[in-house]
Amino acid sequence: MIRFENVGMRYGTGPEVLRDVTFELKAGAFHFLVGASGAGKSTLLKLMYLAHRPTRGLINIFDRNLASIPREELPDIRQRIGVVYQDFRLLNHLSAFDNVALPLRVNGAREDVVQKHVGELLGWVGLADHINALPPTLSGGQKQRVAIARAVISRPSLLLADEPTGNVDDTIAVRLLYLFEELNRMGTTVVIATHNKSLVDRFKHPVMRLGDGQVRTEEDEADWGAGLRRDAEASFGTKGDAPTVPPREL
Amino acid sequence: MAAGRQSDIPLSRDPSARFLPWIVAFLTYIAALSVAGYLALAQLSVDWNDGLSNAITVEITALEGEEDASINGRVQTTVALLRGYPGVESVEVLSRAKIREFLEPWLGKALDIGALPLPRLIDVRLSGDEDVDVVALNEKLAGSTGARADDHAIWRDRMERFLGSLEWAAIAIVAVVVAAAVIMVAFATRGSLAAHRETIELLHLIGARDDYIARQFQRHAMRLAMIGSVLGALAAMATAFLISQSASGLETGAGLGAETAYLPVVATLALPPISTIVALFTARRTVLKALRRMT
Ligand SMILES: Nc1ncnc2c1ncn2[C@@H]1O[C@H](COP(=O)(O)OP(=O)(O)OP(=O)(O)O)[C@@H](O)[C@H]1O
Ligand SMILES: [Mg+2]
Repeated sequence: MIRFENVGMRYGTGPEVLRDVTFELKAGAFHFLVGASGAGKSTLLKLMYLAHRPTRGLINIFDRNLASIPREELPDIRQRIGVVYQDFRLLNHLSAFDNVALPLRVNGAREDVVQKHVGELLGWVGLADHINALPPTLSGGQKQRVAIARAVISRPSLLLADEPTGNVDDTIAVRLLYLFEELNRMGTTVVIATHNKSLVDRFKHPVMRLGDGQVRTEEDEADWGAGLRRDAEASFGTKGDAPTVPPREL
Repeated sequence: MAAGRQSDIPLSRDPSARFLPWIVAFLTYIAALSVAGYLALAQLSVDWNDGLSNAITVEITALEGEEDASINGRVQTTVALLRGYPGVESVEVLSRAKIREFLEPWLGKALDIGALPLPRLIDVRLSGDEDVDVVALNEKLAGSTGARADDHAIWRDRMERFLGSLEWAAIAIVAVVVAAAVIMVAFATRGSLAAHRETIELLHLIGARDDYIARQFQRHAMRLAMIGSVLGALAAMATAFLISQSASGLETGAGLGAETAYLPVVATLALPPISTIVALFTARRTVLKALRRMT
């Protein structure tokens, strides 16, 4: 499904945010992506949803070498990837409904299909009463759910969610995770970047840990504390006690 | 909801949405008036040319001290010669009264025409079936009665040259107007592209093709151009109407009469669709070119 080999990435002339990232995601996998703030989680996801090209290394997506995909074929690939952006990126002049409908319409879906699916999904994420609301009038958690609905509306093969539960309470967070698991059962490969330790603990899925610009795949949940200590040292340069409080939710 | 759906990109709030229709209206107005003006003048000249090309005026000037009887004799001989000439349909000697009628607007009523050494004029109508060689005719007349024939070639020539340059002027104005419209639409479109860069990026990431994005821009530009050019065309028609109203007070206004008035109107009506299409393709080309530079 996705394979990274020695991928490096820097913004402009800045330092390398990612270096030597190597991993493979099998079709149908479900992974959490964790790491300290600034470790490069969003950057890694950007590479996966083709918003950026790597500065070096090889990326295979849907079994094709990204470097060899001509520009005209990118839309087809992107239509198979659903993304929940950390900052939502909703279109403020469009209603919740039209925002969620966007991937279907871009794909040329019939309007009766759009009406049916979008209405259903917005109901499912608890926004039935806000279908015609504009994003600026929604709360942070409501916007997040619109963003999630937009990411999953077209049943993508790959779902990339960047901190998708940062603005909702635990009950809704768990409910949203169930939605992702449901999609995963129907065949969608899922990667969720998160700071929410209790979610990672509760849903037993393999964890990819980003630190020092590299990815370690840790199937072992028990290692969480050690990883966290390493992240803290990496980001704050502190030694000694690990913070007793888990990283804040953004 | 489907039909009247808002566009994904909020273009209608861009500054260009406010100024572009006015610019297009202004450009259309100029183009419409220059084309209409040219067509009206061309029609007028066709009418006029038809009148002149089938007529020759023959002039007999009195020699110094010549008696009336002698001139009358020369006139009679000339008329007889002309009547027998191939291609001539009718020959009419203009009476003094008729000549006075022609001259009055220029010389005034008070003038005593009898006191002037007026030439005798013979109006010759040609059948138009065969070309009459005016040079040969002149030689023949000069040899026998000393009359001179004038086929108004100089006037017709000048008129033709004048119309030719008017035609070029009209074409040049339309070309400049189209170029200005293309530049303005491209300029406005580029502004919108920059203003909505983030939205466009998002649409790309969602999987929108360049064509999907370009369609929104071209629809928008088309709408603005249509509003503007219809406004401009209406204003031009109103102006042309006012001009032809005041022209019909003149005798020469006959050429702007009802039977030819539809030509400028047709030309004016053709402009809004043309502006709209120009705007559509300009916006499309500008957007596609810019998008190709994005990932
Ligand atoms: N557009 C950008 N231009 C320059 N530097 C950037 C840009 N985006 C991110 N960075 C830098 O890249 C590094 C990784 O950022 P990234 O957003 O990937 O971290 P993250 O793991 O998602 O953090 P968080 O958990 O806070 O979301 C940071 O040091 C950040 O300053
Ligand atoms: Mg991030």
